[in-house]
Amino acid sequence: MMNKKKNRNVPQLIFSLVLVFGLFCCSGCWDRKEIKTQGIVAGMGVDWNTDGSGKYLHTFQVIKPGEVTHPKSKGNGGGDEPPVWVGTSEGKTPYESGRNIAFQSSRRLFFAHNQTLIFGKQLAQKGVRPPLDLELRFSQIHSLELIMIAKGTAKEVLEVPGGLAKIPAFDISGMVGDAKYTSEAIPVTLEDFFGYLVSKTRAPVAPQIEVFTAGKEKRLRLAGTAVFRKDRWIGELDKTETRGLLWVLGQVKRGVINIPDQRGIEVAAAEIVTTERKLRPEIRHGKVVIRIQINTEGNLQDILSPQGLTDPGKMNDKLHELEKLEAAVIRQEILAAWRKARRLNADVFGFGEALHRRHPRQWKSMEPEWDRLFPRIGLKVEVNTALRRVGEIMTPAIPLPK
Amino acid sequence: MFRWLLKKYKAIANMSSKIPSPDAPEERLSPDLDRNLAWIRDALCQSPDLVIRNFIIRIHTNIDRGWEAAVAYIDGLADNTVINDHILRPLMGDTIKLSANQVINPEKNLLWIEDHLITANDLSRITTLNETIEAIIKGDTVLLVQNSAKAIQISSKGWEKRAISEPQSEVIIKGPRDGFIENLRTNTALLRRKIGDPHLTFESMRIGRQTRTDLNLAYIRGIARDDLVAEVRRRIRRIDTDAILSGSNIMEFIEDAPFSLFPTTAYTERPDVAAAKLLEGRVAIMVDGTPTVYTVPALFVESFQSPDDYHFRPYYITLIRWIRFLAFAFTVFLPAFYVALTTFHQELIPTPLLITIAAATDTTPFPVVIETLGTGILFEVLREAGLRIPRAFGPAVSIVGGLVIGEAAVGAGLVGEPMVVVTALTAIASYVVPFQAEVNVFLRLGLTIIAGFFGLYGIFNGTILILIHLASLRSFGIPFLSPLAPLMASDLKDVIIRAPQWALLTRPRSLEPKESGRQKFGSGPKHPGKNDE
Repeated sequence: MMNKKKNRNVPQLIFSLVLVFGLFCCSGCWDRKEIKTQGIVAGMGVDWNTDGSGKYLHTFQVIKPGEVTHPKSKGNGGGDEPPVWVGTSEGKTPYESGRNIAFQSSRRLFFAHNQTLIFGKQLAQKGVRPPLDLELRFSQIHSLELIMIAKGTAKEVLEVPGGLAKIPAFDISGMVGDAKYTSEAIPVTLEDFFGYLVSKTRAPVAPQIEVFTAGKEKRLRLAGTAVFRKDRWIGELDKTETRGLLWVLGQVKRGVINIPDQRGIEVAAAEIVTTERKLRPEIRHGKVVIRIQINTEGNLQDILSPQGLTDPGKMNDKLHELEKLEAAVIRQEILAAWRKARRLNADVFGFGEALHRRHPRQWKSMEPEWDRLFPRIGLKVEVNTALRRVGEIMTPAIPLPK
Repeated sequence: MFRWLLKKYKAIANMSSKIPSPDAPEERLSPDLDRNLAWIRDALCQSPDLVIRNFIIRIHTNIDRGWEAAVAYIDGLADNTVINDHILRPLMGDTIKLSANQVINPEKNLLWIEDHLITANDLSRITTLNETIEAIIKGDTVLLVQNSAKAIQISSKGWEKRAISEPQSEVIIKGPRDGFIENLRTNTALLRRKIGDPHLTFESMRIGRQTRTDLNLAYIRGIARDDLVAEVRRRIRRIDTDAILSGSNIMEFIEDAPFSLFPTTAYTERPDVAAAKLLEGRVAIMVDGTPTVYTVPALFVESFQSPDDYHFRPYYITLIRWIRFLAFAFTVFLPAFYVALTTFHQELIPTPLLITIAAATDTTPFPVVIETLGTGILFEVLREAGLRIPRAFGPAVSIVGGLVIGEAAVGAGLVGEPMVVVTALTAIASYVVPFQAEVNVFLRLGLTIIAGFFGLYGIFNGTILILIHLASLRSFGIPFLSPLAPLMASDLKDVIIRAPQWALLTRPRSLEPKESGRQKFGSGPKHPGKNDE
């Protein structure tokens, strides 16, 4: 009886087994790769024509995991073995250049954990499209890696040893992440950058990084924002202008604002705590007017003037005065960014897209001549500031002699 | 090759069909005492532990002066005090003179002895040789009297048995500490003490040609479904085997899915757990000689319930339930995920963790799959050694195991530290859900191998296959995955959470009890200030 029952089920069983094995044949990619055979790339840089040969030059910063977790000293008295290996390779096309690293590295490079992609200035001026094209085609690249522009070459940036973080590339990404405490550098991911590039009117931006020398060591620091036209570097914003850009984009998070009095002497410094931005494009008599309203709240952190806020009765008046001065500073930052953008004729703010969203019909006719229209935009900036807290003391730290 | 296997199987099947049928013709006892005694001796193969005591019952009637009689029992199985004080003493005591009007004939003398002389509490009349032998073997004493073709079976079971103690396999913190023992009657008594309802029913059966093992079905009439009880009864009656040495032997005969990895029967050594399961409408199978009581139908979610769940407050137990689910997932999936992530999907590992793993596995000689399977099997070896080893050697195994595997293997660079962590976590987590521990090993190793070939894709496919299999299982008609699939929302009160006792209003509906109400709605504690009505 058992056998009969089994026999009936045999075709079914075979069929389901075939289905199951079929399932396992549909797995697509087949690439078992052990961690120990791979080099984890932390940072990657692309330069062009550094020696005048017209070749692309790739620089890879590869993590040496053993040196990160169990650092070994380099024999007697020597310094620590660096936790990364930096290799460069060149080629006539970006792909060839990148692949040529295989001549020097014992491991297959693995890019999924890459933190930052740095373009040298010469390449940026020539155009970053070729290496970006490669990045976009490559399956291991993740879209959240940071785009940076080196003021010199990407190679020298990646060769600078790490500061606080062991792995230098992590230092760079950490630096960009910490920029939110000053709001004077703009974090741009690969995804953002592609977003800028596919927009017809927007000018891409990316933070710049430079190498400087402190004593004997080389160090890195952020240095303003690079402005692109299509994929070519055309100019840069300095720190103040960068924050002006961030105000307009609504990306200011924290930051310090120095408040000068009418004579231009700093009397106080405030911290930005909360910000709110409203952007409203209007079309009046054929002219584009952008209204920007910034509402920000902050805390008073430094009071430099010896009087401080001594008189409690007049404290509010004094605060109001400072608030007005602060608003003027913010307004100046925005206008500085606007002047630079107008001079470069680069819509770094995305005004075109805002206009497109707000007035889609008029935009159709404006889009082709946006280069002509952009510098003629009328900008109305309104800044409201509030200083909420003054800290733990009311009187100056050292009371004035009466 | 399959043909050949089939032939072999058929040959074995033929062989087993030649087993002699146990129904030998019933031989009746004869009125001749000596002949009966000789029969008994022969039937028990002149065994030295058979004791036959001939004596004379001193009854003086008008016909004769004393009846020849004998008791037969097995030394060690029967209780000597019963035999001495309640059988031999009354029978061999003072001479009894029966007056003329009390004169009885030899045919009725047994009845008279039963009624007037034997002071033992439990006795019955037997007429065949088979019954006699069976009674003697089971520890009873048989009294035979000359001229009577019947005998009296007197209950005198009294062998050495273990004291009731806390089960080692199911340790709890709060709650009752008694446990079942190897004696069936003690066990049924333990259940009776938990459930006072007279509807608690025991049904007696005896299986095993050679072992003649007693077993009892226990259920509560009026709660357990009749067809469930009938099905259990039918399946047990079907068993025709030579030996049932423990309850597990029976379970393998009556399981729904004999080839499945998953057990579709549950077991416990605790009377309180058994009682709770009976109260939910299950049937318990209690086998003499086994301290483990089996309950059916068994559900997958039962493995995640522990007796302590009902001794602690509900919030904590709800958390613990989830930790058990998590631990089960850990022990089944962790090694497979480790293999998949480190050999296929390194981009899914957070960067700092990847660097740590990379540093640890930099110099290890084997691929991660081999490493994982190796340490997994090594752990099973250690576990098995720890179980089987005589207790005195135990520390040696743990020291060698812990030091050599944990320290030296990593120190020598044979395996990476993360591997040891993964194996340890997996091993510990597997004992959070002890009822599934034997299944875990297969799932874990199987998934690890698939993960080594196909990565996460393989794990997902493997998981789907496991789920399909689980969903197809049934235990005595009840879907194994219920109340999760098919979903019975009201049963989740004791699955994904543990509701307070007063909120467990119904018995699990997935078990389809005949009577499902547990307590009235609103029988929870009331604020003392408020009147009840």
